[in-house]
Amino acid sequence: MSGSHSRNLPAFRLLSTTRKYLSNILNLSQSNESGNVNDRLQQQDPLDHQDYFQVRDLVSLETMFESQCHYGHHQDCRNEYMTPYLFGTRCNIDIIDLEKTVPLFQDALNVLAHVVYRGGIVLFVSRQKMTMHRVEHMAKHVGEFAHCRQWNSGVFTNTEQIVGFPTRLPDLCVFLHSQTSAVMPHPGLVDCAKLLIPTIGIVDSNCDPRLVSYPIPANDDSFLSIIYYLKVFENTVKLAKQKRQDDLLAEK
Amino acid sequence: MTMAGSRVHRHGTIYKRVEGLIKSEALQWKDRPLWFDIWKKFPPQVEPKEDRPVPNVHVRKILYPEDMVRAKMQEVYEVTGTVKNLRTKWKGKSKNQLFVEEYVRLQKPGLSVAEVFRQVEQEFRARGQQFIRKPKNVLHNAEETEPQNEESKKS
Repeated sequence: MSGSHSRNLPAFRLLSTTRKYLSNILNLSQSNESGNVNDRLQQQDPLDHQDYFQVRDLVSLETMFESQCHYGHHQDCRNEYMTPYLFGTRCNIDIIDLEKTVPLFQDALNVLAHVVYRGGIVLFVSRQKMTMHRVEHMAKHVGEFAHCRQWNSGVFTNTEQIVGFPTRLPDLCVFLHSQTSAVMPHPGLVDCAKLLIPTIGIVDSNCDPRLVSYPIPANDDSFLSIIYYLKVFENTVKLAKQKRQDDLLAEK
Repeated sequence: MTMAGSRVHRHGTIYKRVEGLIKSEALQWKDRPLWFDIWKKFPPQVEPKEDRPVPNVHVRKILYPEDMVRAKMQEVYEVTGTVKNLRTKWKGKSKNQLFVEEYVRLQKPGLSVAEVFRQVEQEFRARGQQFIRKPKNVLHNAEETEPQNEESKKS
């Protein structure tokens, strides 16, 4: 076991598409001898790009401002771990610093796109009645999954008993609302942390950002802002799937 | 993988726990989770672990110099018109905002607040708009008392 471990460690990649890539690039380099092989490898490996899917352009501060993403809750509801992301309080209402939100949002989108590109399953989670159907519709539209109903405690931790047969868990969870309808932390966040599933979550000024792997500090109660996030996530998943299809076709 | 992983979510991050499994060879490198390479390349800005110190950040109050004018307007005038409507995409300025801007333009070091208020009111009346004063007007009383003081000083 240790032998295979050390042998696989340096160059082997899990993803078949990436492995195909390397052979493809090597073939290319044989036909076109002008370019350096190492340069091409660096150019072509998706993880070596800072923005392989060009998802960072999807987020703009102005649109977020117009979508009311900067409004937080009353200062008495503030979670103390959210203070680094706040701009200040105006008339006792917390205002979120969107200049800090935008890079975090871009990083989260990049990770989401990479997971989708590698064939991972994404689960969109929300417990907000107002936008529940929108989330489900969006997830269905892009070919991913959504969980917007009451969270049974065993959905992740006791899947086989609840579903009845072995089930594959998602590779990434996107929380559009990281609280339950009773303004408590969403139990799915803890379950994801237990079962080694990374999470992307929109955290308002009253949410706990500690267990969210890629937190996005922004307003999660306004209809306009939720619609905006859904649009951005949808475009990201579409871009990543398109890229995956293009790259697979290019290899054939 | 899920069976091998520790279900204690309070210690470390999910990345560190998977890394530990790989180091101890409980999890083979080829069986590592799909997100592992992505996290390694693009780690979160802040480590998402539950046991971390509370950030010692002071949240400031957002205040502007012209907030004094806004507060004074609340005392002097009746509330008329729309303050702010979140649902419309109207990007014009509200009547109160126009008043504040006019105040900032007209104010000078020598003028008292009451005089600038009267000037701004006249400007708006010339345009056909008016601000309705409250019955118990704070500014009006101040105006009446000022000349008396000056007279008493002269005598």
